[in-house]
Amino acid sequence: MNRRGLLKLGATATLSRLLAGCERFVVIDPRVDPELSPITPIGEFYRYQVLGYPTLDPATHEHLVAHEDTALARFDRAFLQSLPARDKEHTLQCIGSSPAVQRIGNAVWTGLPLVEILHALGVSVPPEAVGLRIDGLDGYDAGLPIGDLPSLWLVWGMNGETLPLEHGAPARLLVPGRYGVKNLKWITAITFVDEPHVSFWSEAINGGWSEEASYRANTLVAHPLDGAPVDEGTVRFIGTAFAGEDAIAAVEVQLDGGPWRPATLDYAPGPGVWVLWSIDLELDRGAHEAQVRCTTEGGVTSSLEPFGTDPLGGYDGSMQVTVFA
Amino acid sequence: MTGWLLASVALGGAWTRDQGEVYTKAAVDVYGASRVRVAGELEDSDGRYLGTQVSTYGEVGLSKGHPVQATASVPLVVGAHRTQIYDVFGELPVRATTVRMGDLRLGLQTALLPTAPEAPVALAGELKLPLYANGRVGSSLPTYAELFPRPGDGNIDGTAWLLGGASRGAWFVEGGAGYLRRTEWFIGWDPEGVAYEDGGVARAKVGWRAGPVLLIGAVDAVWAWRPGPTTREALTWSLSGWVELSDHWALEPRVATETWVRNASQGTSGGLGLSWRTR
Repeated sequence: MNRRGLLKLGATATLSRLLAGCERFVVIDPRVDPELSPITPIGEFYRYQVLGYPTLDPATHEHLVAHEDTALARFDRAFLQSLPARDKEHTLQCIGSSPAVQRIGNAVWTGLPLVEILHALGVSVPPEAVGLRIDGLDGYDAGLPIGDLPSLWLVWGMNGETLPLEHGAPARLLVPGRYGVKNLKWITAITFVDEPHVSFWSEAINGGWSEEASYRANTLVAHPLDGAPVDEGTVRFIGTAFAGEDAIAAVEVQLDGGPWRPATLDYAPGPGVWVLWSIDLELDRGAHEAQVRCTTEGGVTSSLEPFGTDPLGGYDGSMQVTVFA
Repeated sequence: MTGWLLASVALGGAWTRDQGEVYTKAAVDVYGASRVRVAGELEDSDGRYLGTQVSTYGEVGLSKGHPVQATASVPLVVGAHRTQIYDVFGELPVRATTVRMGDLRLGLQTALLPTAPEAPVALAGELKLPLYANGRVGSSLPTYAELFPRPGDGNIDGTAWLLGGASRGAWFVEGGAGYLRRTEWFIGWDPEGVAYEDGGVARAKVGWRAGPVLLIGAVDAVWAWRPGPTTREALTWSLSGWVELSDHWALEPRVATETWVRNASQGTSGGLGLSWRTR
């Protein structure tokens, strides 16, 4: 090839490269051999609220219990703290959680089942009530079927400390089996309703989140990050699997399209709490793709769609990462 | 995508060049923003955007008697988004950088009143053609694809301008307004549910010359007839200089700031250009 031909080839290659573009992803302060703690420290527990943090004094804030427009009782933090509270380990996952935004955490909450608090207040469930409307001081609201009532908890402590404001002080709701979108913070009113309440934020009104918001089986890879460089040889993959009240029975990993291999369940206390899993994979030089799926005791397996099947219904995918050894 | 890239750049101004007259410029601009306006609310963004644009621009006069000129602008955009991801452990700071060709802008302009050089009026048309496919931005890392800056909206737009100007002594003023036709014709990308609204564009400039230096203040506006959740709008104020180095060469520094945006980041830019022209 002559000089003109070489120049032309070079120019064409440069132009192709420019049109194709390039991109780079850098973790500014990468974590080294991170370990997942079964109980998420308060400072690392995810927080997400569409309406920001309300201004309130947890010591004087009052909670209202009502039936439609009729007030049945009011109580405050002093009343709650006078009750014999118990601990409950419970995982929360945001309905908007995804491989890119892994909003999931597990804590030991201090509080009581809501029915016990209602009993202490002398409130009986109105026989005509078909559901509950929960309101938060931030303006957020949620509807729940009356059938959820026996499983609901009101909590005012987190990991041995008084519930912090950013996690819903003075008291927040725990709703087993439903994504965080139903676990309201900064509770102002718990209202028995005679018609099902549909949240302003749900799909029925503004095309938002699923109104049902039931947890769906899903996995997340916490380490290594997607796209991360790793050393050749043995690489430990760790992550979470969760499906709400349907406990996780197995987690499996597929490397580069090979057979599914069982991961070790390092922490699997049962329904309502996440599973922490790990697996050591032997990686030779080059790019490797690993996908992680889970199966519940109820026989549900997470979707093999890495990003899930319905972003507004909650993540239900089997996360996949590509790493470069 | 930033308001910074919205202003029309393949626009020569009210004065249309005669046949054989050429003006070219190579420039580097840096833009920074940490706020974004979405759905009417100005808020701190999740991170900082830092953009660098290397651009070449040219004007050439095509005809004699009744001036017609062609303009073209080709940018290379380096966009860096410093933000954080949220994994099971909490927040982790990251930087996602995209290097892509930006929007090719081609223009054609004709003088409407060629016999009045002190008060010209011109009609110009501009076509914006993306030299990138937004669907491929971030495709190397699908999990974090949304974090990679896109060079632009990725669609084809057309703009018609009516321009006018006047000069007296050391001063000149110039203004223009036009119709911006935004299409949903995308290059190598087929986004679902993305719809852009047509809108208006306007520009006003005032310049003052002192010896070899020309100072120019300008305001550019791009807006939509019916504001929506995706169509970007911006009001940009700029101050630029033209410092004559020789008969043909000039240095052109420029600073600009966006005082209002919608569906775009809001920031400040600064840059330096080197231009060459025929006399």
